[in-house]
Amino acid sequence: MEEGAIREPWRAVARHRLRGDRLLGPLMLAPAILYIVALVGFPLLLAIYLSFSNATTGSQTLNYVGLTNFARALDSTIFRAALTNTFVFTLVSEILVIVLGNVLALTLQQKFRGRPVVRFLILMPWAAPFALGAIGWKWMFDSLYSVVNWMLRAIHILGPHDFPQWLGVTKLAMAAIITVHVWRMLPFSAIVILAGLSAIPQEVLDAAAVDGASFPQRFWHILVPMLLPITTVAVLFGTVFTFTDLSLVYILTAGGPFNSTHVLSSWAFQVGIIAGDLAQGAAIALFLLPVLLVVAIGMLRTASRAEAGV
Amino acid sequence: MGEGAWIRISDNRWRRLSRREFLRLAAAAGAGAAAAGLMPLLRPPRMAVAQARRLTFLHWSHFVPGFDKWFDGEYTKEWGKAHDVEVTVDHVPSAQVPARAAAEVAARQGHDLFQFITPAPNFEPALEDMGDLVEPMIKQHGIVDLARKSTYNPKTKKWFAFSLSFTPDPAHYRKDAWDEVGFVPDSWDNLLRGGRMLKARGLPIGIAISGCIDSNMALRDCLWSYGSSIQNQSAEVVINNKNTVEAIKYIRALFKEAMDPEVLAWDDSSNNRAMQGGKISWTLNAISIARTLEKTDPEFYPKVQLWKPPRGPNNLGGKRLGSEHVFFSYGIWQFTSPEQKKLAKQFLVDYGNNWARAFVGSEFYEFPSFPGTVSNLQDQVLHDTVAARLGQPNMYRELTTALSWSTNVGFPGFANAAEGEVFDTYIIPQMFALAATDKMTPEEAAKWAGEQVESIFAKWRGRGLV
Amino acid sequence: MSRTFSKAIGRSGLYLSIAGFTFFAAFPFAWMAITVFKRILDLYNIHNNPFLFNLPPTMENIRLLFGETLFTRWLANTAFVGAFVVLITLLAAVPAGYSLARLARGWGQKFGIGIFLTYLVPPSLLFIPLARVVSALHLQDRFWALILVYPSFTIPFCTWLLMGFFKSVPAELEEAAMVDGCSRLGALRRIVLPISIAGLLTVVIFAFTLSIQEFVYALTFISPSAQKTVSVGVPTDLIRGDVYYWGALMAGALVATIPVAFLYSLFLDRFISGLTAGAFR
Repeated sequence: MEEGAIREPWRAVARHRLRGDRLLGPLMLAPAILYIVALVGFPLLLAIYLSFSNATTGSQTLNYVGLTNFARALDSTIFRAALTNTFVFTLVSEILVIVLGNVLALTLQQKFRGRPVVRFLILMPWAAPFALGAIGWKWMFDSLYSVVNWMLRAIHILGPHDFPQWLGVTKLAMAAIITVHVWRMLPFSAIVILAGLSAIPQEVLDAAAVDGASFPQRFWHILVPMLLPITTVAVLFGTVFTFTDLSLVYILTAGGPFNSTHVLSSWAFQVGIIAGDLAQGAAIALFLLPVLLVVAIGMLRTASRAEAGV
Repeated sequence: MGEGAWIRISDNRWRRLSRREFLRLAAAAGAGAAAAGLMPLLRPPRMAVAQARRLTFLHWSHFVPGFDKWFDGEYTKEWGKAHDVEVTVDHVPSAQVPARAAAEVAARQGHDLFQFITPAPNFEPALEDMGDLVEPMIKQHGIVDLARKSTYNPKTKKWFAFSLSFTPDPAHYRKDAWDEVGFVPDSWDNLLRGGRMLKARGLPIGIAISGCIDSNMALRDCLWSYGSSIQNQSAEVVINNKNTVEAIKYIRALFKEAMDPEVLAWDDSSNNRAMQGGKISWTLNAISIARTLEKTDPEFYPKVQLWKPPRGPNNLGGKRLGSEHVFFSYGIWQFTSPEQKKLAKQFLVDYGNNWARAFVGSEFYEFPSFPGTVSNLQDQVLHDTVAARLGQPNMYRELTTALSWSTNVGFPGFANAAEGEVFDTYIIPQMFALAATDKMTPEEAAKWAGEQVESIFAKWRGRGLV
Repeated sequence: MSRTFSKAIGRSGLYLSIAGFTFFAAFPFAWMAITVFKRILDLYNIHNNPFLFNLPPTMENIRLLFGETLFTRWLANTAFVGAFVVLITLLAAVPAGYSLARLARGWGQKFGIGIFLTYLVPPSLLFIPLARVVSALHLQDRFWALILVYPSFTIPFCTWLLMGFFKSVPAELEEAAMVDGCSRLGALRRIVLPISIAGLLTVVIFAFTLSIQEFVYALTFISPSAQKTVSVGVPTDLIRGDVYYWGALMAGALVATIPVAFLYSLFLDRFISGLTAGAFR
């Protein structure tokens, strides 16, 4: 090692730096850590504390009530539906976002006429203030004036007297929620995947092409493994975002029809804030935290292993 | 490792690229900041008037946009001038009042006067007792029972809010169509009989069975006029009974025979649009439907008339009850400073005694909680200038009876915190919907609702508020 | 890549894919644009073809949006908040991401995960404790509250994202620069950041978008009209209980979206070409 250090002077420098780095490392990390501890850590602890109390939005005095709130949440049929919905919603929309995101990224990478315009249009959903975009979708799914239904009729997918109630039937409403969510998330996933795609050295692909590998072969043996780490990033972000998102369900269906399309975060908001039972709301919102932790740590490990492998 | 080559590459290529990129980035950020007009933004708001007395309001966006103009721009300005107070009125969307209230309580800082849109019993522990304001008002002007039951907690003997008004929820119906089938939608029975015929003509009944205020109100009306209720007068849960089952059976029949499935998807604005678009023959709603038509479609306007909410079946007492549609009340947070509390109460007393002007400013959308504050209410409603100009002087006549049939959420008891949560989590619409869509039998639905409601009541009893 | 891939799926498949995605992404905006210029009686007539103007188009909705609300002010506030949030996010996430990628050995990975996990906290209730923080700092009812709070959800993800990008930069590059006399921070600035431009742009776009889209905090922390952002201001004035001013609402959504999408598509171009020009692995 000593000799190596002499032959390769930058190693010696690096070791010399290491002492400075011991200080620099934490120093550079400090602002982010402080921010997170103050504005996420502390409120989170309070939220956890709330979930074991009987707090209301109108009361400052708290009494410890143990696991009552969690037990009561589990008792409610609406909560159980929301729990199922959260999983269905996240799983289905994430699969769609990733599959479509890959296709879209591969598409956008090609050269074709009008590409700037297409890219502009495709980025629009991600650029829109979502609360307003969701109101636009609400209008498109309107019970009377749904332009979606009008078009489906015009191309004869629907008969002249069919008028599906997108927000009035549980399955359709879930489909509507997932559609809008995919609409919103797709551009960002495609961008992230595009970044990963662009980072694959052209030589690798060229070499494979010269070796006579067919497209499916190249897709499965080169593109997929190389896209895995970046796709994991997109999946992770998407999953967490989807799991914790409140505004979509809240604006689009308000949990309807008959409280059957709530997800945990919207139901937590409804019970904890709108109806005022803060403690119960906190219990509902935090219910999945342990599950999320396990899933996220698992995926992060996979992502870093995949990264190391590339 | 050929370190030299690496450096050259990066120097030559990347550093140049980077500057360009960062310039772009900086330009974009700069453009954003410039667009924002940096200077006025950096100035903290409302700092110039540190000496003058101030009074701040949180209002939700009024359903009659003209009211906000009158209140913000006219009334409070006048009052502020007379009392040397600078008045500020901030607005939030009507659906978000509870969230904003929760944030103000959590922050222990907020507006001097907070306007609620539904009764606010769950905020009682954070609210000032308004008894000293309410009692004299009652002596002078009387009080409608629904206002008392929505701002007073008999358990703690506290007036937690001060209400000057509420919005009645009459029926809007297509007079032309109902005349043709020969029915008057005066009872729930008639509604079903006429509704069947009207649905065949493409004009079904329109009662939302969904998670929205309209649905909560309309379905409670039905429940009550069938002689049932969620709680009794002493706040005991009684909803799981045979009258509830009858009401559920009725709504199920109405849904299947006289309505379209779209009512399951409705929000508060849907029935307005459906009536305006000529798609339904009957709905319960505040007068915003009629008022909108005055502005957008004067030709269609005369076909839509108002009526009282329907009567229940005679064998169940034949009661006619209509829930308030919106309940206006002001709260003062306990953490507000004593001087501001005093000023806020002074405003409320003055406003209460001048409330007749607000009645006009709201275009009769608001009705008085203290009836004496509007001495010539009947006369005014019968001579609405807009309606008269459009040749419909009697348009709002049925409103004059509103004080007799309007009641509160929580009838026959008080609008307590448990009733509030039942309301806000849409248990009642869900109960009706589960049976209407055959997910449960009427008996099962009533039992299901009973369990949900019982659990909610138990929770709030434990907190000493019910 | 371009040549081989497109040969495989064929040009028609490509155009089908382009058409499908473009329609899905842009149709809602096209429908918004039509709604903006429609009269209410035209909009609410069930028998009309919704894509045609059966009554003459109207400018009333535009007038309502710009004339009767503080829309331009909200736009400016939104841009201002977004720009500041991006700035704070970069200032915190770049050093943190670098530190985790390079300086922290064993504990870097754990810390990286830890930071990312804070992103899992459901925001539906966090505004309650945060309201306290905001008021203690006297920021209630001023959009500075949002500038303070938004980085709490942009920093974790951005740090983690940048950590990945920095890791993919060959360490030899910096080390060589340091041999030539650069300090570590100098190497970060001159070597690592320029190479990671794609990552930085991703972070900028991500943080800006999230701050535009946020709804619950903006709603609960800000009530004066002049301090609102677009997401909250527009519904406050244009949804009046049971009356939706569709035309003006849609106009608000469109006007707020177009410049941002335009800016993004400009960046995207640089972002992709910057990466494809020289793969860094």
